[in-house]
Amino acid sequence: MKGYFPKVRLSAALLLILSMVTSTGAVSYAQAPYVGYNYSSKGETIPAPVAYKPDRVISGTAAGTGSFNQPKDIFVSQDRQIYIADTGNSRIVVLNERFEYIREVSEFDHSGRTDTFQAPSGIYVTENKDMYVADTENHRVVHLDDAGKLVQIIESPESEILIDNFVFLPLKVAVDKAKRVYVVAQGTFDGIMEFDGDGKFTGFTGTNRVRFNMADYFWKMIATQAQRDRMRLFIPTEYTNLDLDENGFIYTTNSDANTAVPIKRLNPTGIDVLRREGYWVPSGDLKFLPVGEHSGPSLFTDIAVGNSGMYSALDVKRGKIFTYDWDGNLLYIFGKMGEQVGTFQTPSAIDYLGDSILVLDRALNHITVFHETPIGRLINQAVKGHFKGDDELSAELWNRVVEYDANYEIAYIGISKALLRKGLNKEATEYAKLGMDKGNYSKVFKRHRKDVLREHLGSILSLSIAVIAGIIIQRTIKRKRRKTYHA
Amino acid sequence: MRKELLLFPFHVMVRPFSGFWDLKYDDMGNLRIAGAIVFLVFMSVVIQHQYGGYIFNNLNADEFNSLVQMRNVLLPYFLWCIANWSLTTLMDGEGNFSEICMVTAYALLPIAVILIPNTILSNVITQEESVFYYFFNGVAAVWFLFLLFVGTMTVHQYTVTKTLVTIFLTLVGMAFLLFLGLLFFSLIQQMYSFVFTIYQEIQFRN
Repeated sequence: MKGYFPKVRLSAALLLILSMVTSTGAVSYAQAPYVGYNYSSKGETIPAPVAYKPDRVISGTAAGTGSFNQPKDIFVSQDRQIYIADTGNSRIVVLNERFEYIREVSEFDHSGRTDTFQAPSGIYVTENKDMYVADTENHRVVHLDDAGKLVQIIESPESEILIDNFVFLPLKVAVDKAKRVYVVAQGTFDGIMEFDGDGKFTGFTGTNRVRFNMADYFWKMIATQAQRDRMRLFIPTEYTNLDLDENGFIYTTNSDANTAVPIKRLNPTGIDVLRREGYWVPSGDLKFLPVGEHSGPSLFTDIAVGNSGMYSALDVKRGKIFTYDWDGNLLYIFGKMGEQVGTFQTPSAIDYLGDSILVLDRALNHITVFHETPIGRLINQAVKGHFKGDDELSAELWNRVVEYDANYEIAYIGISKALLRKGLNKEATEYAKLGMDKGNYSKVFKRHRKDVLREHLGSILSLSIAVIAGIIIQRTIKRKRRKTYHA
Repeated sequence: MRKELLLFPFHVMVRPFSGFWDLKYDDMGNLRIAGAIVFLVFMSVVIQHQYGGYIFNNLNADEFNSLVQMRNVLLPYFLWCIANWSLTTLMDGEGNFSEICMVTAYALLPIAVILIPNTILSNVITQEESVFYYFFNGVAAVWFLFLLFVGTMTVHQYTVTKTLVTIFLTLVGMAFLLFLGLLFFSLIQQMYSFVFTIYQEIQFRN
């Protein structure tokens, strides 16, 4: 009997330690300065678990490079180095993936003399670590190699399609695999400027359409020339930012508050090919105040393309990050305006560092690092699985997502697709229904209907033959009886 | 006789000209049957909303409310009857109020007859076949409008143009009735709150 006693005490002590460990673990996950939410298929705001939570804040001083001043762009290169366009200090700061200072680039050798940047507000780094800097106030795009040696300077272009007093103010820059340079410049309403590998201006791509409302158009029609000259011009909106995906397609955000398509994916001919198969077109918040502070639709200032077709757009108006999958399903929303860790004042740029998301704040002069929470990780993995075609794995992950959040409707679509592949058509219809996906439901239902018919066609046919035969027999009997009665 | 009366609405459906004539002059209409038809239409609309196939059903189950369906069927029905009667008495119409009620109700029958099987159909078809569903819904609507037109024409002994004008004016009249009704309720509400406020004031004084 005595032998049991120490064992019990030991297990009790273990239990105590264990409970302490788990409780502290739970607390660390519960903390996020914003409330998680998402939009249902009906467009209603529904609470959701937080998918990303702030991990830490990296200021210039913390990174060991002196504080940032109005930094406007951040770029994570393929070898996971972080480039920051520190606009106010006219320099490019390079950090490693642990946010430690590597070097800064503030000057370069320009045919014998030292040249400097002036308010660079865009940075792009290619696969072989060539650096392209949108050197805004110097009216040029500077192309440096890995060692910081000047390769090429793209000066203000000359072309007959540009207006006469054109001032080249490059804001954002991106470079594709063919070394074509795409530039978003201030005050250009014709789209994204495209330069070839030699730095020659080849034209605009992806021009935004002119948008006007019918009332304005009507008034303009009946106005006199003098009145017309004083009216607001109908001009297309500017792009605010761009990013390239693996295939060289350009993801863009634009500054039009009323556009139906604030996020676009431009193919090489400049046509928008973004997939919009989700419940709603990717456009940030669906519900917002019509007037007052922080009112109106989301205004995107930057977009980052992650792997597996996911992309995140940064809303500068309400300080939120919206992440979508390849099909345009809204996966999760996080972020907020404020003063705490994980909230923003003027978010200016976003990029992925692996599965973490970095957000640069221009007013607070720091980078906020967001890490996945367990559910964020599950969602990301499930989306990746589906993108790779591994629907079975992704269904398993979606099932676990649903355990966290039964309102996560996209998960049901994922499960439905996997069940369909397995040939479980009846179950697949149920899940498609839960996922509120009519297109998919119709597809699955067609197969289910075929199954049912194939299984029961024999009995249906024999039953109907029996019924018809019964009716005929009954009628003949009736007729015969009538005959005998009359006879 | 009873069976004949019950089957008569179906006869009207397919033979509207002679049917409505018999309804008016051969006393074949029955107000209770008319009421039953309106109720049936209301039920068929509810059934379509509640049990329509998933692909065609945009209804949010959280917001389902049969009273809304009731409003959508019964209110227009009575508005139509009242407005039509008010107008046609001034425009030499020969139909009386109960005849108008019967004709309108009998004209509604195709909706009930088509909507219920269509609801069943909607549960077994896919998105590509949705044309059939919308087609049958359209047939129900067109059939109803045609019957209503013929019924109005027959029961009031109007010409075609006069019938069309009457229908248009009846629609205007329905809008007027709605407006007056809202005005009435709004005024009653204000009067009530006025009296209630005075009552409260007096109550608080001592």
